[in-house]
Amino acid sequence: MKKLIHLIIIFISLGLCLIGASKPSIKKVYVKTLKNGHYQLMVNNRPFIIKGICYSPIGIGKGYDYDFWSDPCQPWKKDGALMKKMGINTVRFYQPGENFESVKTVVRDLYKLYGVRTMMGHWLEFWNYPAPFYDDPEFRKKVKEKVIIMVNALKDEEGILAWVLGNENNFSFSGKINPWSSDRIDKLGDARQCMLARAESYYTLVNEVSQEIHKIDPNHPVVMGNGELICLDVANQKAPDVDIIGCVIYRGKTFGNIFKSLKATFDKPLIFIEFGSDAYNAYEKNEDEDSQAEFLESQWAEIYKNLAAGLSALSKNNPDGVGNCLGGTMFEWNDEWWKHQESNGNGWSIQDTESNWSNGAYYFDIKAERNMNMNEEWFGLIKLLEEKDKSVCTKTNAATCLEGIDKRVPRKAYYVIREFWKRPHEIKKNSGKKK
Amino acid sequence: MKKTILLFSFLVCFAILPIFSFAKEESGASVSATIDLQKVSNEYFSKNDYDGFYDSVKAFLKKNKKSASGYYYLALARMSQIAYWQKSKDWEGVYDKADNYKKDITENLKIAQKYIKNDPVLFCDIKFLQWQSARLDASEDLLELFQDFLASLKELAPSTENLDKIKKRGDELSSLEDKSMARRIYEIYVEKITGSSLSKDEVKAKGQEFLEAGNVYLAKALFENYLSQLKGDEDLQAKETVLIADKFIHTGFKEGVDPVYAEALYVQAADKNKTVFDSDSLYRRAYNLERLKEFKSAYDLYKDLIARFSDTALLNEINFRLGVLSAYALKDIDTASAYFLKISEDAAKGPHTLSALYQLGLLNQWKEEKERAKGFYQALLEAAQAVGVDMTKNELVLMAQERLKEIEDAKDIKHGLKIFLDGVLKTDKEPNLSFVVDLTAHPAKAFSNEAVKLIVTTSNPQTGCMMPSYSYEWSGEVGSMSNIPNSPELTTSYAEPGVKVTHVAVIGAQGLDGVGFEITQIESK
Repeated sequence: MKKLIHLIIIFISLGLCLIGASKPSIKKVYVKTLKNGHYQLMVNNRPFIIKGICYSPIGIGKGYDYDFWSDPCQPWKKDGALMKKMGINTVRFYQPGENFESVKTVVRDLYKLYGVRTMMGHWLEFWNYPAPFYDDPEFRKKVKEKVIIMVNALKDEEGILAWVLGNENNFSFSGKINPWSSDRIDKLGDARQCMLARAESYYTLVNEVSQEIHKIDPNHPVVMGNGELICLDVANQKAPDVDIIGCVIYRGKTFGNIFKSLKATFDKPLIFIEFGSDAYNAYEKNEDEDSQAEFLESQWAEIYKNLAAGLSALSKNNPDGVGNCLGGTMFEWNDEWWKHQESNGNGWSIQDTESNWSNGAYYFDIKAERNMNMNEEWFGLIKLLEEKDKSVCTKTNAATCLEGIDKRVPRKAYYVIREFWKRPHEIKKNSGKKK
Repeated sequence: MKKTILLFSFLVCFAILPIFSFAKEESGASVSATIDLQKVSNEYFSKNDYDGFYDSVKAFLKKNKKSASGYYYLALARMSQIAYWQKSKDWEGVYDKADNYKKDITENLKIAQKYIKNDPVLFCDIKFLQWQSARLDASEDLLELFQDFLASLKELAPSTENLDKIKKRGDELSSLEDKSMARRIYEIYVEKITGSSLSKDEVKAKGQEFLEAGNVYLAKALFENYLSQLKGDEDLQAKETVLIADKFIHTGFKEGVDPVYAEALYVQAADKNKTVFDSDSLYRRAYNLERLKEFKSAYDLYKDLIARFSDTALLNEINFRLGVLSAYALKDIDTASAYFLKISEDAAKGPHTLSALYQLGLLNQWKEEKERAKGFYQALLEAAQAVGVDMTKNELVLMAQERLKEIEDAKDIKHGLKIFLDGVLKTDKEPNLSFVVDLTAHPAKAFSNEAVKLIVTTSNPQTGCMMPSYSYEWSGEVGSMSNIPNSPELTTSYAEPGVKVTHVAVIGAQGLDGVGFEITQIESK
């Protein structure tokens, strides 16, 4: 009898071991609502502040068509090590590569080697040509299918933290950016009515996609990407099933009243999925690491002041704190030299200093000609040098990684934010700390 | 006996020599050491050898244990090393190595302060370094330390050397973009300078000197100090205020040093005595406001100018500006037409006549009063012939011919021009313009054939980093540029003198988004 019991125990243990070995256990990531109404992101049942960065390691001379996921030089390993040193715990990808096996390798390496988790995004076919016809049933079906394929492929990766649907797709509602419409919407005639109809159509789709994700992956929350807070009042009605609002915000040093506004408009937890400052002064026409660092530090101080009260002394001591922020992913890890004129391959090897857009909140260079002060190719916390770093060429990839990767040089902001995360602190006005 | 006296004297001398030396070490050491150490520091710092200098000072302190300046220079060496790391963007240095250096600075400055005796200059330097050190960590007592530093500056006697030192500190902070803090120092400088023996005219001259050197804040402070010294003579004060304001205006040829400040001074002068403005200064003020795009205020002043000085040599130019501002800024076609008519009726024909006739033709054509429009265009062609312009090249002549052809062919005004006029002038159905367009010429006044760059700036809708695509429809006088680019910038030149009017319409995915106009003046060389 004893032998039988022993055998049963051995079999059960073996079975459990086999189950454990075949699949890594996925720990649930979820948002906890505290008694005071504050929100807290929980990972493995522990509070988690997203100290993140948008990650798109497109090197010098490469463009939008470069598949970094399968680069034999594995730039994410060099970057992951630097990220770990800085204290980054999350990267945000805008869209996975086509080969999910390569994507899994990157997600796994970043997590296993450096403890960096992944917020995986999907454009929701926003850059579809000729236009993202979100009001068309066939197009909506296609969008859903693509997202579900991504979720199914990656949901069991331990490094996955959340799904991010869309980016600033809502800026298209006005018809000024990447315009799309339908006969139904056009018949409304009035510009505002058309805008609201587009918003309803899009947010309904996001909600449907969220519901589908929840069915197949209850372990990871769904973040809805949104430019500013535009049309979130509509989303409040049409997209109740998203878990978190991911805002793309470029308001300069401060996020202003966004925490309270979101609470009043659409009471969901908030992640800043893009924010930051460029490191180029378009007025003085030179690199400006000081302003970038100063702006980012100030932005992080606001994030910390609006975390759930127990997560930081800054939020605890902030009577005006809303407690709805979960963290953010700065824009961005490295400079991307291809972005200014993305379709002109000749420009990918030159770091353009011509600005693409204007934003008065970045006052340090708003006096640039035509107020064009935002330099898309200069947002990196890491600048790239044309000099190659061959330390990434190892015995295992020697045959395929021949040139190495562009040398990485951390900017001032890398150190300033590293220090901030170590000792979060208030930013005093006119501290005179700039230079 | 002599020998005895000599020997005694010799012994006494030897005996008191150490006392003198000691006295020097105790009371004068910091002064002499400051001179020497400063020289040595310059040598080391020029080679960025901060540690080398630090070691030298350490050696010096072995023999001069109570030298306040020695300890100050130890701190300075450390601070200079950190500043060098910052300048050379050696962030590892700044963020990984600097902490120990900062402690060293604090300790050495404390000791320097303990040993300092009657040396207000060194005291200032210590206070400055204490504040600079606190800035590195944005420490709690930053403001207090800056106040201490300011207080130490205030204690300095107003000697030329000290004044230079104060100004240098102000310049230093100004170059570090700590403008508000630099101003506090400049305020002390001004206080000292006025407390010195300078006369009010010398203060004014000093203001001019700083203006020319580009130190606008200090220039303003000194000019204001000068004006305050004229209190009691309101007329003189008003007159001088106008003259000082003139130094800051936008002249058209050059961007103003501070046109807003100039207008504030003009307002002050007008409050004291309205009649202080002559026709020239009224024109300058009105033009300055026009450049600030304060069109209504500029309009009112131009109007005031011709009311008070009807014999002004600039009458036609001013009437033309009034006409353009009425039409395209104030949207008042009738008033605009009245001004243009005045010019066209002037017996003396010139470039303004052609410009006014073209505008009359254009406004009437837009109002669908085509016969009247035709009459003005034909009058333009006749006047052009009369004044002898090149009928094959003159831009206004060519534009009038183009408009006449449109009328003859019963066609609309050409597309770009029509949408501009619709955007500006339509009042029955308010055009749904989504943003403000600013069109500005650089320079706004130029000589014939000189390059003029016209730049469109728009207030943008919220679209994040994605900029909407726009078309730019240029119209009006675009000068020598034959192929007008679809771009927010246009670089051109004008062969003939006159006041040129250029328009732009900005069109987005949903149609017309905004319109803008610019007045550029071209003068003969």
